[in-house]
Amino acid sequence: MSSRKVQAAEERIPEPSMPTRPLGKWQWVISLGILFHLVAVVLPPLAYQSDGPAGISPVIQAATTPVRPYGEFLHLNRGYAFFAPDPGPSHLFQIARLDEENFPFEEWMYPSLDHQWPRLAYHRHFMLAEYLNRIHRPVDLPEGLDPSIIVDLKAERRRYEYVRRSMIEKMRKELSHDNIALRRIEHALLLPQDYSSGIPINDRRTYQVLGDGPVFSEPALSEEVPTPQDAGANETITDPKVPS
Amino acid sequence: MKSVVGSSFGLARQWLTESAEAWSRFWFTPCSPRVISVLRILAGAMLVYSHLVWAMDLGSFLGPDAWIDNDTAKSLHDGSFGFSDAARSYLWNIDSMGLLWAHHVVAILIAIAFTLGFLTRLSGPLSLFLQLMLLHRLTGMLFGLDQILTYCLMYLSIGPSGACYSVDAWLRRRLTGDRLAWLFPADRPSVSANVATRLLQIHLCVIYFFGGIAKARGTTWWDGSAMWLSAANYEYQSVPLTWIVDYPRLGALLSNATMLWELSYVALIWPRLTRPVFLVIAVMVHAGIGIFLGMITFGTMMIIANLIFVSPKLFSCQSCEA
Repeated sequence: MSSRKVQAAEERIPEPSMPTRPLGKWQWVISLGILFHLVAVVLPPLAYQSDGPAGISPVIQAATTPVRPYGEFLHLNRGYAFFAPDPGPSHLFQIARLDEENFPFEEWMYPSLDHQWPRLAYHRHFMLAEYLNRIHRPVDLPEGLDPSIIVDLKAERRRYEYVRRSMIEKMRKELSHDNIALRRIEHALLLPQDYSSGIPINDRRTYQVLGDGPVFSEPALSEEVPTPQDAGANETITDPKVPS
Repeated sequence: MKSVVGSSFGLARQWLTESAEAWSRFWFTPCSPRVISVLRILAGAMLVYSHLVWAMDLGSFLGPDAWIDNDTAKSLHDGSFGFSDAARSYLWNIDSMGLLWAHHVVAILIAIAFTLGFLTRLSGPLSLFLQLMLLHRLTGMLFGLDQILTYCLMYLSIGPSGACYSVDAWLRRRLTGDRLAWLFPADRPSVSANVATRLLQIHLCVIYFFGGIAKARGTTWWDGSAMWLSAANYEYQSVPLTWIVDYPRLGALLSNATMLWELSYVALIWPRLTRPVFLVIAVMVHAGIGIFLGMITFGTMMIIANLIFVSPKLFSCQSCEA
């Protein structure tokens, strides 16, 4: 028998009409293990999608509980929301060495293709910048929040502060310099028409320093908006819906 | 009335029997280990590369002076900030850079052993364990590459991924024969190869399905502007894709097609007619991510993972046993 025929014989999948034996004891055990694992695979992204203003769906939360430690240990607790729901601006962080008057005299941007190579190393620093931005919580919380939410937000703020402090401490040791500053930067995305008008995607105006207040994205190009007086708008603007 | 109830029970019983048979066929039909053996080499090589990149600046990623130091990294998982999970790592407790370097060198050597298929039954699970310890320590610096690489390691450790194209296969032919069969598996169809294959196939389907769902909940993957927004991201850009601004219909087509491909992957990767089409699209999507969005490793690893749907008949093995 030729090796090809042997190969084909070995790899033939039984036809659906071919009778199969019922599941043996070990096959039942393996099947239960498979089912447990698949639940741990499917539920985390489902929980990620079910997270809304009222929290995660309680039924999915309850279903996730038995498999959560297993999934967390095996790194299965992921949402797989790559560039989703929509591609957004990227985030960086900038480290500055300050003099006695707190004036920056040396700065580094992370990530930076000039300083991080190969590309994977650059991407690790990019993910660190994104993580720092993702865990940022403002210092001042809005009034009227539920006390339990305040507790959570304060804990999340502490997490951000610890991570930020760790990053500053690393640079202090590396640069042997105590006065180090770190700031988050958002790189907004240009509209197609702005790019078509000749503005490059790395135009300086597209980089905005993020303060420690509430986080929201500014327009892509930060330019001064003329006041109504500058625009000479002394004319009366009539609401077309309001009868004159 | 009795006959209706009886018929219903009969139909239900028949359905259960057929379901069990279908489950048995899907999971317990022996399958060739050639595909997972090829994946072992490719995923193993990616793992070695990932470890080498960490090693280029190990002190910035691990240890007491890392970007996220040991104490902070531990606190991210032990409930200090209100979040406690099972993603624990002994690396939180190692402050000695000498010890961390020794640990990392061992991790690299074990990954090389796995890639070459040496003592794969041991080097596979060990590679997975060491990878998990790294991931749990390196919170904040991870992305899709780490996810898909870890999942491949997981499933390749279940199946006999050292049966072909490996040092183990050579040792089996030259030295051990059928002795120590578990440690040096033969290049024969096996249930464990099938289980490993099916698990990775289903996991890929889950990744793409929920990736598509997440995109479908946005607006730009529908209105077609997502491709421009991805191209306009300077930090992701490798080879410029910004020329797509002059071809809005192309950008819209690629945006819609990407989302719809992800959503339908779970159903259409399985039939023989549509599988080649979906695999070709997978190569195009991930090659695009690698070439234009700078994620060469992630794009490559996703293409590697999609090989799990390729027929083992495409891979010959001179050591195959009749």
